[in-house]
Amino acid sequence: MIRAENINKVFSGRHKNVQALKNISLKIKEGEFLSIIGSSGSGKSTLLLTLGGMISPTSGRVFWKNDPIYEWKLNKRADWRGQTIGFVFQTFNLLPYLNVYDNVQISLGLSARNGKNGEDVLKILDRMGLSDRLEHVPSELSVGQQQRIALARALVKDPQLILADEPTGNLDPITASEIINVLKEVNREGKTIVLVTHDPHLAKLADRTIKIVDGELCAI
Amino acid sequence: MTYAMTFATETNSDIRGLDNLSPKLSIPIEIRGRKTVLTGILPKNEFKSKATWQGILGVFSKPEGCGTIADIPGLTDSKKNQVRKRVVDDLAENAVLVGGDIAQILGLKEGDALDMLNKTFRVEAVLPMTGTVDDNRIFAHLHTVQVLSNRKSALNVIEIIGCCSEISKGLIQKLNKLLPDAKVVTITQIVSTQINTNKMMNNLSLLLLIIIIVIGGAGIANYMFANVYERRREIGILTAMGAKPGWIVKLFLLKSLLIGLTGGIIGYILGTLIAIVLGPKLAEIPVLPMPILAVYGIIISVLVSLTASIWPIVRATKVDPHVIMQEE
Repeated sequence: MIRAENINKVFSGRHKNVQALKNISLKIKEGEFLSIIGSSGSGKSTLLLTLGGMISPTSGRVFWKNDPIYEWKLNKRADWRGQTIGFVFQTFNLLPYLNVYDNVQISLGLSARNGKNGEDVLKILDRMGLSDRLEHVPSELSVGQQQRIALARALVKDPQLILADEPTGNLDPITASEIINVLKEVNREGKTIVLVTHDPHLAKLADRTIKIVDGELCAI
Repeated sequence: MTYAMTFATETNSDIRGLDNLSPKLSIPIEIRGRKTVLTGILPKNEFKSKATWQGILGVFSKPEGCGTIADIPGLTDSKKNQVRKRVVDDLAENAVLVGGDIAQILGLKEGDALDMLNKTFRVEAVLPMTGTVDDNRIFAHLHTVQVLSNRKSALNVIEIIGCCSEISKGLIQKLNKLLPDAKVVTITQIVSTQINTNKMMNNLSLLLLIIIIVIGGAGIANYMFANVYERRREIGILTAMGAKPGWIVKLFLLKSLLIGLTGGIIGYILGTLIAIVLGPKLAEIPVLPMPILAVYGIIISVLVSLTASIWPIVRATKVDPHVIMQEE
């Protein structure tokens, strides 16, 4: 489904260059639940953003169904991202001035809608147990509820691939397991999940785990 | 005997070509809290020298020498000659002529009473607008002003109409020689000085405008940079959700457009209000709102705002996506 081929990413600094990814090759199958573990600064997030079409690699290529995404024009890549990828972040990244409904609906507004509309927003929020919180702004909700909004925002457009960066990093164990359960449920429905975490126990819930050390891939 | 002839006789000079002399004494006065100038004139001479005044009070002047007369609508040359003008040879001691602007400001019209310098005057006529300083002046008889200002026989200006042929034969030099303590300047010199002054003021205004535009543009650019920096996480989130670079550009362009529009409208309103309030106080010029300036102001401020925002907006499309992965 998505394939990375000899990816290198070098960030140019004032004093020295930093190589975040070193010759990474990776293949993710459709419907797979893959976890990526590694310590802080190992390059996990950079790999996730590269797979999501957000950061172009210094060298190497990323293929979506055998089509190299970084050879597409920016607008085509944005369309693909909006239609195909659902991002979930550790810090939720909700828009603080929008209410729950609008925070989810904006995802449809920015992407090709995949035939989705306002009713789908209500359905996904109902599934996340947030039907009675539609008019609330994120600051009025618990962190668990905020992450569920973020998950709803990623899922509402029915993406094929979900890229989750430490989605439970800011949550208590019970709420974290709720979020993981949702991800597993979504995976069972056929979605491909890439979960970045530094928690080995969480990583074990995935079908396959890979480890990144200093930008290099190490199979487990 | 005309004043010019009297002048020539009394100065015992052989000056020829003086068509008309209009002696004046101007003094600053204050009426109803407003500063203005009272100018003493000899009416007949003044009317003869001022084409734009001719026609008021039914006064028409017959061409004499090489002087000119005003074109009065509906009055043919033959009629001009037939009409034996009701020339105002004299202004009564208590009569005044009022410039168009000052009459408008003080609400004066023909026949009104006007108190100044402890004396009540009657407004004989409101003068037509000339676009000169005369519009802001009040005119009384020269002798009346000399008496009221305790400056008997004093003058500060004599306007002279000279015949063209005599001017080319050295009339100015003769007058300079005759009046060594006076400064003799021609209308050409005055106009030239005024044109130079206007040019200088225009250049100064242009310089000021450029400085204001540069400072304003720098302020907007700075604000937009700060705004893009503050919203870089938001930009990253929107990009991750599928926002195209063009959409981000449109978002910030719209903001920049609104800043420009608001600035232009507020700037016009504030600028007009300040000019209306301060214009008469500082420059003694009445200021009326000019709606066309709102259009110019809005166009300029929008252009400045959009131009100043270009670089910050370009930066907005290049936000490092890692920002969405970082802790707030």
